[in-house]
Amino acid sequence: MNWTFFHKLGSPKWFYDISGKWLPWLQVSSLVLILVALAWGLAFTPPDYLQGNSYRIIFIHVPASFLAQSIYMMMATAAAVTLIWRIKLADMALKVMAPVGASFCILSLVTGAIWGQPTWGTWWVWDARLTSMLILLFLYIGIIALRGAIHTTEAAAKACAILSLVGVVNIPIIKFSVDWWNTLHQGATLKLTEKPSMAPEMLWPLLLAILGFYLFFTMVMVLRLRIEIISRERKTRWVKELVS
Amino acid sequence: MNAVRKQRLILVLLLLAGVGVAVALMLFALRENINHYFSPAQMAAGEAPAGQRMRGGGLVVPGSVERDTKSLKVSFRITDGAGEVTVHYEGILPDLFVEGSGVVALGTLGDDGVFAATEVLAKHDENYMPPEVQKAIDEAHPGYTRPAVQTTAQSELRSLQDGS
Amino acid sequence: MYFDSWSGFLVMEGHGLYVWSAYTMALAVIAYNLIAPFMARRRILAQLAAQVRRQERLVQRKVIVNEVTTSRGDNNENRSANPENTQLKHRPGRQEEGSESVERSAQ
Repeated sequence: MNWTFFHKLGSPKWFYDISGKWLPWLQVSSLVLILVALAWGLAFTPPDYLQGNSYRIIFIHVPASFLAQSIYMMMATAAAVTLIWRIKLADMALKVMAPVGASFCILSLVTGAIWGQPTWGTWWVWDARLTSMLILLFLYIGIIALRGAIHTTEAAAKACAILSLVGVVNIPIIKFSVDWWNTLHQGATLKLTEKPSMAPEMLWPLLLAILGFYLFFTMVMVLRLRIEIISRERKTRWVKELVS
Repeated sequence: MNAVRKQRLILVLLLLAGVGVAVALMLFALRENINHYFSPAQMAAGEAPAGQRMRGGGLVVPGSVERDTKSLKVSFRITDGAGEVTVHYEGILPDLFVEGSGVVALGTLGDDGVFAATEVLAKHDENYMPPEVQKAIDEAHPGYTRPAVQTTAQSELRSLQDGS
Repeated sequence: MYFDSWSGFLVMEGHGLYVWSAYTMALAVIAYNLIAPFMARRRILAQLAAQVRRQERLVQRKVIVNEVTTSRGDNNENRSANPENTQLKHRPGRQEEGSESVERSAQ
């Protein structure tokens, strides 16, 4: 197999040039989508027959939870690429994704707690889904802290990559926790194999919100990655030409 | 991919497999005692230790809820289809506490077979629909209990049987 | 619109506090993710600008030193033939290192 395309993809300069063209589209589309989806979910969907209006938190809680898990999966992928191919861009991606993932993980936990109070009757229970999600947050914080603790870029890249890879076992645990254990948290509403158990007038804004959040994440990641590239490649000629 | 990279790939995969196996074993070991969960049938049969803090769950038996008029005391029975246990609780019940729906109670089982709960949590299912849709379903099937609650009940019973 | 009035929209049949605090939290996270990169960008660009300025100063000093040595006229040829001897000339060396890392990163 020819791997040159892979290495070209890993060139920071190439990424910097191409991502500059994507950025405005990503910014506009993600913010418009999120705005439309959340306004739709807040004001234009009917309430749930059982939970009333408190279910409107779903339009934030579900996209945030999806993102928190997907970002970790992407970080683990970047970690494998870092360890095997030693591509600098993969380590940069690993670094810049961690705080974004952590922020969405916090959003998922907090909105879950706010939603749990009126529906279940408690902010928090040590149930498998909630606990495994909390572990995900600790993993994010651990990866960020590890990066801060090691000063050599190379050593930090390796250590963070290994920690990210080890932590990836938590992802299937989060996903299947509601099936494996007796959790207070209900099962998945959106399933890949089955029809979603949600009325269409509620489902559409939810899907839109998920798409919006993913686009928003892509945009933030591109923004952060470009800054990280400039910072790490500061000694190269093209960055010097860029800033002067 | 050259030999060095292949070697690194194998190392990464081995690392992942090793951690995966370790965590799987740990979870398997934890599975038995993670929740101290007892079903109403186990409580009724005296299999649950009295006086120890535990979790119990089941469906609220319709018509069994008795509320004290002066205080927040409430008493109801929960069932898993195989047995029933009476629960005493004092406090505010969650919005979703409805007769026929699933609850999880935290507390201790007394010697008299009554479960004294310190916390009652309502479980709901993954179905979301507008009230009009619910009403339409009710009208189409008069005398039929709310299907969503029924699916809650069914999935609840299934999870109770799996969990016990 | 599902709600009849603004107050109904705010109160949400008693769930308003929960719903609105969750949406506020979402707004805060979105704002953080938008603001943090821009702050980092400003900081990095300021750092890089300072670096460029420093380098320009060094180049100017080097030019002055060269002029002084030229006017003195003692073994001028030797110096230009062996520029690494001059302490102030370590900058171009770094530049070479930089261009090397461009090639490495593109590999």
